[in-house]
Amino acid sequence: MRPGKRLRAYAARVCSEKTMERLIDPVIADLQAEYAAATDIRRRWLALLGGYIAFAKVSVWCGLVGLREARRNWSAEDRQGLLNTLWLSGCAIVIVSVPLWLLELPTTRDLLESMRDTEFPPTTSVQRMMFYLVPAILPLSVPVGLAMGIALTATGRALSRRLIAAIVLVALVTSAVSVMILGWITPATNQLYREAIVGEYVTKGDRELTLPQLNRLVQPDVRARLGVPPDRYRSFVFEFHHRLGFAIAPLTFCAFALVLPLRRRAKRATGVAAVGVAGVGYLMMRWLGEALSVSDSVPPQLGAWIPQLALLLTTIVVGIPRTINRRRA
Amino acid sequence: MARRLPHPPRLSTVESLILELLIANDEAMYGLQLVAASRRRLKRGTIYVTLGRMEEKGFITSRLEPAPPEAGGLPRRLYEPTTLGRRVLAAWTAAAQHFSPRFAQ
Repeated sequence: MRPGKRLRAYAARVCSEKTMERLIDPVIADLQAEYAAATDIRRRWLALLGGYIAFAKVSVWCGLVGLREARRNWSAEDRQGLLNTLWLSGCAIVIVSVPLWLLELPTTRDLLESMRDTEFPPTTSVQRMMFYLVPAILPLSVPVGLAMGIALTATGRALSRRLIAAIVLVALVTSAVSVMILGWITPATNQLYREAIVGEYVTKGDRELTLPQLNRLVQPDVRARLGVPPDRYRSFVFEFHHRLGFAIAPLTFCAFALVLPLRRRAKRATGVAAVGVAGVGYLMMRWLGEALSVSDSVPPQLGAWIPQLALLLTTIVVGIPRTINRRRA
Repeated sequence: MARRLPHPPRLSTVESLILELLIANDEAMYGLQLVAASRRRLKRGTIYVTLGRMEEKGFITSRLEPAPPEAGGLPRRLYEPTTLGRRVLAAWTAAAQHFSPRFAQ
């Protein structure tokens, strides 16, 4: 099969005729022409890579233009669909967050109790400690809750392109907020949590470093200058990539939730359950990735991205039967 | 009441570069040819967005290549400047030379 044919078919579903003619087709034509002209496998791969990157850039541009047009032609049904998604997602986020948050309560209480008999007993309260833990819960509970809201709204009804674009935009904004939380807020509250227990300044660990700090530490020249040991360096790299992966989790979970209604006989309860299972699976993959990374079985970068890759693969597997059915039809 | 004069056509840096390349080349060019000729000043991911906008403004025109390529893929699109595009570029260059000779160089 010629490269780009499937991409074009996907684009044709969401793009207008004019956009296809002016933007998508020329990019695909370039990709195919370069691929055909490539004399060896290396050039073919380069042609594919260049073509796919160009396609991604054009797609982002089309998405932005589509959103601008969608805002103009917003129907009452779409508006209601978006409001439902936001409302249900908000409820789901709270429902997912609270149990996850309460799971930390026994540990926190035990920690405080164990420190009471020491030379410097903590002066903080359990409530304050639990408050410090809220940002650490959000990066997982928000994508899962958002996906549940989407699954509840999307299952059993046909979503218009405008509504899908708006939902993706919500996921993008959530992703940007996640970057802030994971990059700056969680490290700060983690550090406050640790200092509250000990009662004085504690040296920052991997999870207490901000994203820019981690980014500097994973640079090879900085590593050489500071003489960071290999296992510590692996830990920094894993933490950095893990946070990046977590930051785009709203997008991957959103994609997963949008694909779920494509399955025949999809029901709301099944969709929500599937998102819940995906959330648990995501956490398990995260532990697996960390274990593999710590044991040096896989590069820390790969270990950190295992949950995202697993979720993306699942999304593709769930979406493929529909694609095949359409092609047969 | 004073009549509002219509805006003169405006050219961005990328648009003027594309027009220059198209006019310098006697024959119509593909998007990738433009990218190659621009020495990395044009990007293949964004050039078609600019070309589409220029076509809407009437600065260039496009057509699909006449014969399908040997590999049997999609036909590529060829771009060439219109008379309006040539005039606008000439006016733009003249204005740039008038206001800032060094910039025009």
